[in-house]
Amino acid sequence: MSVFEKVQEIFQDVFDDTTLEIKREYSSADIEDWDSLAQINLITQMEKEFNLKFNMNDIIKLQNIGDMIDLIEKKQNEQL
Amino acid sequence: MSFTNSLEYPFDSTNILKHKKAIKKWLLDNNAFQEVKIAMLSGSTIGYIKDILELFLLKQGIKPVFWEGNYGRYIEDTLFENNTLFEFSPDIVYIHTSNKNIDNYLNIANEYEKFEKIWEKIKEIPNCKIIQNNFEMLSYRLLGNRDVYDTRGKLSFINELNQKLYEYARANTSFFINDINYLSAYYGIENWYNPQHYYLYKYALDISKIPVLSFNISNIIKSLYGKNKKTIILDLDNTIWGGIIGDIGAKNIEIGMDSAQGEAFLDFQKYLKELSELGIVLNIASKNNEEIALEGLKNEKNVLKAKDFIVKKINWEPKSKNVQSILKEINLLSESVVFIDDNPIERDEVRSNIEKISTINTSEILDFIKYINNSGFFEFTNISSEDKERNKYYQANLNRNLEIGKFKTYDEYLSSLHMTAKISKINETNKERVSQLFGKTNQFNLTQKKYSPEQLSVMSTNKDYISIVSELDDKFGKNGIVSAIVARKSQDNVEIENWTMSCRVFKRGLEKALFSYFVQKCKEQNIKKIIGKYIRTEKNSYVSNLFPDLNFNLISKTDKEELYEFNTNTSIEQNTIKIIKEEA
Repeated sequence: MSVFEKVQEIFQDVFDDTTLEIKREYSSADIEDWDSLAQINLITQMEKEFNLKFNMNDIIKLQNIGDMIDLIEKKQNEQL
Repeated sequence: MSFTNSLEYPFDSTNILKHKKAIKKWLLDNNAFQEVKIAMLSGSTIGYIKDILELFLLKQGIKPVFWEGNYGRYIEDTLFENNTLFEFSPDIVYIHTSNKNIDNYLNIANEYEKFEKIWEKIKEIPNCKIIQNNFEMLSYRLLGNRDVYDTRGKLSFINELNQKLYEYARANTSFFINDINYLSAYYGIENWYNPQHYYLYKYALDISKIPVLSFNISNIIKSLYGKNKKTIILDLDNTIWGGIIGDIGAKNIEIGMDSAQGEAFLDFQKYLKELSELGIVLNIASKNNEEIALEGLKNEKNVLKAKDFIVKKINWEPKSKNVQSILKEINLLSESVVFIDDNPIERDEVRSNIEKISTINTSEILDFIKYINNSGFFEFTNISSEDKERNKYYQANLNRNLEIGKFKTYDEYLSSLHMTAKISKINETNKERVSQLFGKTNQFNLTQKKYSPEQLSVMSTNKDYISIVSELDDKFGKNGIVSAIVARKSQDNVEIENWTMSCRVFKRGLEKALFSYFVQKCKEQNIKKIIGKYIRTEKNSYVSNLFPDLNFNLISKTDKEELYEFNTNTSIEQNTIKIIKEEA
C-alpha cells in the first residue's frame, strides 16, 4: 500500500467515513470536521502507522494533505 | 445508535470526542431537560471542554445555554467588558484557569487578589454560582524537593494560593472549587499536561483528559440542581462480603482482617458506612435465604450492621422486582439509585427492567470504591444537618409504602439472555468439578448425597445410572459446569439420587430445561416413572418446591423428607434455554 493509500485510510478512520476520498490539495477547509482535535488524531495515527515522530515545527507548517504525505516520505527517507 | 454507556465511568475519551455530535443528538432525543445558563470564562482554550460538558449535563437532564468568554480574557470579560456577561445573567459562571494563568510567583496576596476581584464582581449577578478551578502542580520543580516547602518554590506558592481559594470557598456558599489539582494528580501530571496540546492549541490539559475535566464540572452543576444519587442498593454475597453465605455459612463469610479479600470487603463496608453517615441510604437486594443472610449481617466482623440498611429484600425474586419495591418503600425514583452487584447478569437484568438506574460496571471488589468515586454519584456541594437524619426519615416512611412495584415480565428478560445449556454425561474430564459441585452446594441440593471423583468415575461406565452434567452459557459468556443430576435405574423406574445446581445460575429456568432433557432420556430408555426425594436441611429451602413446580406428585411426606413421582408421559412445557448435547 502506498503512503497515499495509507493516509487515506487514516482519514477515513478519523472522520468515521469509509467513503472519504482524499486529494493532495485538500486542507481543513475542504473537510467539514477537520478541526484541531481531528488534526491531533491525524498526526497521532500517522506517527503510529509510519513509526515516525513529527516535530512541532513540522506540524505547524502543514497546509494540506499533500504536505502531510511529503513530510511522511521525507521522514521515511531520513530513516533509511 | 445507542450511547448508553459512553458517558459512564470509565470513559473512552477517543470515542466521546470523536462521536460528540452523534452522542448529543442521541441525548437530545432521549430526555426531558431543564435549562441552565452557564458562562465559561477562559484562561486557556475552552472549545471541547464546553462541548463535552454539554454532553454530561444533557445526560443529567440539564440543557446548558452557554456564554463563552474570549480566549484568555477571563479578567477583562468580567471586570472591564462585562456588559454581555452581565446581560446574559448566568446561573453559573465557570472560571477555567490553570497554573498557566499565574502571572508571577512573587507575591501570593497580589495573585490571589486578582481572582478575588473577579469573584466579588460576579457576585453582583443575582443567584449566580461560581465554579473556580484550583491550581494544578507544575510538571517541573526548579528547586527539586525543596520546591514544596521553600517559600521561593513555585510548588509552595501554588499550594498556598490554593489554600486561599479554599478559605474563600468555606466563607462563600455560592462558590465551588473544581478540583483539577486532584484530577491531575489522580491521572498523573505527566498525563494531564501535554506541551504539544498547549503550544499548538492552547489547551492547558491533554485533550484526552477533557472528558474527565468536563465530567468533574458537570458533577458540581448536577449536584446544585438536585441530581445527586440518594441511595445505594447492595447485593450481599461477593459484594459486601466474600463467599456465598448459603454455601459456607454465616461464620465463614470473608470479612475482616484475617484475609486479603476479607480486608478489601471490610474497607468497602467502611466506605459505605461513611457514605451512609452523610445521608446516603443503604439497602439490600440479595438472592439468598433471608434467615441465613441476616445471620451473616450479625457476624461481628462486619462494619455494616443490619440496622445500617433501611430496606432489606432477601429472597429469590428477580432483582429488578426487589429494587422496584425498595424504591416504592422509600419513595425514591430509579434515577436516584446506584445498584451494586458483583454479578454482571444481575446488573443487566436490573438495568434492562428499570430505566435510569445507575450501576458500576465492575465485578472486582478491589475496584468498587474507585468506580463509585469516579462515577461522581455523590457530589456534596452542600452538607446539611438534615442529611445525617435522612436515614431516620426513610425508616419512618417505610411503614407507609408497603407496596410491591411493577416490573416487566421475567420471561422476557430470560429469553433476551440467549442461554445455551451444554449437556454431557459424567466423564473423566468433568468428575472433579461434579464432585465439588455436589460437595459445596448447599442451597440447590435435594438429598445432600455427595460423590467422590472415584465414585463418579465408576458410575460413568455403569449402565444403571443416568447422569446429566450441564454448563450454561449466555450472551455474557460461559458459566462452566453449574448443574448435575445423578439418577439410578431399577426396571422401568428411575430415582433421582441427587441433583445440584450452583446458585450462580438460580432463577434462569435451567432446572426446567434440564428436567425436560432428563425426561426425554428416560423415555428413550423406556422408563415410565421418575422418583424424586427431597430431604430438608437448614440451607436447602430454595428447592423445597422444586418437584411440585416440575409437576411431580407427592407420594409421602414426613418432617424431614418428601417423596415424589413423575409419569414420563406428562407433557412438559417448553422453555427459553437451547440445549446442546455433547457426545461423551
